[in-house]
Amino acid sequence: MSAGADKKDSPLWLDRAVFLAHSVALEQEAADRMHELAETMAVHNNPALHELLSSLAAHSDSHALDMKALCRNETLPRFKAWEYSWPDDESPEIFHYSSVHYLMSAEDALQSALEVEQSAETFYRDIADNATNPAIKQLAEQFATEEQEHARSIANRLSALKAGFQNDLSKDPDQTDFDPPHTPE
Amino acid sequence: MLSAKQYKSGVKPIWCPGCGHFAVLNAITKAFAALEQAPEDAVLVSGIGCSSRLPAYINSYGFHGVHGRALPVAAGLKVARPDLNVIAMGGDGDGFSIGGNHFLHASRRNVDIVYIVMDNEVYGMTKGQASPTTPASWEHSKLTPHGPEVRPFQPCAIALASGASFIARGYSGDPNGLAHMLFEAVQHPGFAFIQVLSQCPTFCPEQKQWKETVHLEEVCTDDPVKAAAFLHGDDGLSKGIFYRQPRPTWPVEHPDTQPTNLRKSFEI
Repeated sequence: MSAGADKKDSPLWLDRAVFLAHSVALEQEAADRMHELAETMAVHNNPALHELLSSLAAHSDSHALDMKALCRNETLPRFKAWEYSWPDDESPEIFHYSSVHYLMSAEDALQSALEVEQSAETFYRDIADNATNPAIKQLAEQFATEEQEHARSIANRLSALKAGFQNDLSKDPDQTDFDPPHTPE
Repeated sequence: MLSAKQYKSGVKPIWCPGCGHFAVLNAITKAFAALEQAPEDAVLVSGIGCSSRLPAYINSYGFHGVHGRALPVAAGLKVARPDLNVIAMGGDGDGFSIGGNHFLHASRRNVDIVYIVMDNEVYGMTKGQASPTTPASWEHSKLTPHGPEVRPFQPCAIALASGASFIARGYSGDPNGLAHMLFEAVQHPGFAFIQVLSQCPTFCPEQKQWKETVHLEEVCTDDPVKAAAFLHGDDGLSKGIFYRQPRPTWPVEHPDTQPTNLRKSFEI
């Protein structure tokens, strides 16, 4: 959805079932991307970040299950991946690949997780503030508040990490790259 | 009907965190879900390199072949088994250097396959040497301290000149858009080439900028002259389907030639 002026005419803003289908996809894609990143860190022998990202992924799984439970009696439309009306190329609550690196720290990971939660909140807040369908406005307001809570929870973890209060997370992996790029044998 | 996630095998990718190839993997599974692709009717054929590991990560048939030779294997398979959905894939080094000549002739023959090149402009598996698509001034490798100092290969323009009948460029930052391209490419009757700008966060961290610089160009045409004009003025960072013009595929069928009289056809 690139044309901001037209977005209120999108079924996402008008049709409750379409809105809920987007909400389910948003949570599921967030969980899938987080699991993917966590598994990558395990493959790259970064157990600390694997553990942190897996815990974030478990929260995302829980949110996805909650959303599916909310919609269990609904008949939701099925969309192909490119048919969703996201504000950008991907759903708002996932890490962009360019924000990830093998040397990323726990702080980087939490910062990115915070940003995607805030992005999801902005997505719902925009709909809550501007949609004309009262049922959608109400749901969007509820989901925006939930995303705000998720963001607050991650912000607290990030603050604690920075303050060194959480010993398990403050032990970031050594950032020295013992096998740096561009060293031809 | 399978979900996109159900098309993934249990093998965990070994790509670096942030590698664009993850997005290509996700785009393929999303396209397969949309196509309702039966896993047993799809074959992914690759060469050698980081990206060529992809067939192992998909729940379908796969062939991880020889360096630069994905296309002849894929073409042979399609000719022998036209009922299968054959997708060849690999990287820019595999496809445009050692496999470059196969790329030209696969485009020319127009066999009904899809060819995905995950182009990160570098040989990642061997620790970051310049590839055919590396920018001339790229100075990050100690093997080319002044950069390759050679004009990069122009995959889409060369595909067009060689006869490819579907030409597109996707971006790993847009897996949904790429899934749509794949969906269209699989249904295109003929050789469908998709160059994917697939970032390498390890050896080309500057490619993070693609998030800001890659742009959509809705210029799809069936006119090769218009497509050529666009591609020769292109900055290499546009995404979209650029050219699409079905034409007869190879092999040509000769219904009157039966195996029993094949010898007669070749008599001198």
